Amino acid sequence: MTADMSQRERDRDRFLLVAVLTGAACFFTYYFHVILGSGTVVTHFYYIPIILACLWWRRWGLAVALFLAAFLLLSHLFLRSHVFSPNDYLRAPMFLVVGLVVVTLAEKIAKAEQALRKAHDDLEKRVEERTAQLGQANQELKEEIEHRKRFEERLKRTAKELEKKNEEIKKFAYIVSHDLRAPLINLKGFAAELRGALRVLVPPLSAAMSRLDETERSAITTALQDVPEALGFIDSSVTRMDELINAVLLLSRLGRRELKLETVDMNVVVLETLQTLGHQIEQNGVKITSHPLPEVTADRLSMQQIMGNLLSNALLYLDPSRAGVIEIKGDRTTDQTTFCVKDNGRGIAERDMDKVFAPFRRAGRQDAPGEGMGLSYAQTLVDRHGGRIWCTSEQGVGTMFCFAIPHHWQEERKDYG
Amino acid sequence: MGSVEEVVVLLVEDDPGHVRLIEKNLRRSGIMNEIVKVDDGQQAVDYLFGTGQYERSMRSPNLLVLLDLNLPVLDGYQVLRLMRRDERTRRIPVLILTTTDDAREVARCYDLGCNVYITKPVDYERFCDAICKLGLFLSIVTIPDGE
Repeated sequence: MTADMSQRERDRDRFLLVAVLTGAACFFTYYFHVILGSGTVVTHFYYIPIILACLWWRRWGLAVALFLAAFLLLSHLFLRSHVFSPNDYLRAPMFLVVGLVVVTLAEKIAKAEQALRKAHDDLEKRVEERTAQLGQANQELKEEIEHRKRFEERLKRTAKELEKKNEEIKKFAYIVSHDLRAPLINLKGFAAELRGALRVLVPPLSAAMSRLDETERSAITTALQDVPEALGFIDSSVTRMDELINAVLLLSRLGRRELKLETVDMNVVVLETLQTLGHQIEQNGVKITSHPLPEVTADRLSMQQIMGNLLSNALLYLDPSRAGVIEIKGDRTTDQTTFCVKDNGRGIAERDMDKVFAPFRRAGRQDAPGEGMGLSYAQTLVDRHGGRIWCTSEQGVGTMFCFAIPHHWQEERKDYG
Repeated sequence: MGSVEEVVVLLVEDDPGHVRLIEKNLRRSGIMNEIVKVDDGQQAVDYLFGTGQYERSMRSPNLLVLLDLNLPVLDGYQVLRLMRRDERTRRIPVLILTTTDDAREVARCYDLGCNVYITKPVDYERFCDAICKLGLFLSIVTIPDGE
């Protein structure tokens, strides 16, 4: 309401002003001419109300111009003493021209203002739409981030749990394998005691046997053979169990040793390993080709153990029908370094492939020079580097074992403490 | 100076089979000393300090302890720690005889003050060998005077 009122007030004021100016203009004409007696009709002041009126009211302002033009033309009615020249009358159309010019300009301005306002409104509307869109996109993004954050947290928790479980398993393996040794000591010990007792029994028994009859003698003889045989089996089984326990212990120890990452020259590692296996290589007349190998950032001891294991395997599973050829190569890509040991040995059957990395499957042949580790140890070590180990093979043709070590893998075991 | 014949061997071992085997082999290697057998850590402590069931019993002042680590009630580490803390038992020779061969455990035992650490091997020959050597060792060792 107040805006309206001030608007009306302003209109009223304008109207009054123009009216006053028009009146004053007319008055001054009269004053200057009649009272003061000047020669020309003084119409200079007429322009002020005309311009103002045309500016403010546009077409309607022309009415003022028209009125003053008419006034001028009709002024000869009361300006008796004056002879009107054409100059005087020419002013009338001038008022109209001026008025029209002002009106035209005013209309142009008004239109421009309107266009501007419309453009402004349009722009505002578009900005609002855009803001709404952005707001929504932002909201969606926020939700996505929340979602991801929760997922990441879940991953972290899972990893932490896995780590904990892994530690528990390793501790368990350690404890169990030690606790399992104690009864083994008894088994072996008392088997030996039995053997000792038997040794004591045999001489007097053999002497006394001559006084027994045939059936009793043969029964005793059988028993005297059975006992050492039984003790023999007990002994070998206990030995076997001991080996298995040691293997489990070693595996659990491998999982706990700290890895020291450094730049390892694999050519040196291979050379050292081949030296260790020198005798076996010579004995079997195996030809070994080692291509230049890339460096790798890893735990040196692990690399030695893995390479040692792969090479000794290659030497163990030769094909007797042909001369052994072993090839060692490596390749470095942007995110990992891969090493391969290829042989032309007897190969691995399709059905045995899943046993390859299983622990204890090389039972009985664990005496490879070096550490005597199985492929399961190699797998553990590669796993701890965040890498991969795999093999491809064709029975009767050969086998290739490869392992890849990624470049940017941090063993994160300590990060979840 | 306690002569070796008067020394009593306190065998702290919970596995009866091991007790038997150790005793047999000690005897075979010529050790004829009295062997007191207890099967948990608390009994060992009771014997050493004259508490609990050993409160009013005759205990030898000259002792040598053969100690297993995996014992019930109180484990070998705790027994060792208690022994080394007390003036009365601080000097008693302790020989740890156990299945564990982990380097860290060995170091820990020496840090706690054991005199010798022997791993019980599963290989019986080696086991007997170890006990025999222990017997020889005992026959030449000088035990500090008890209180």
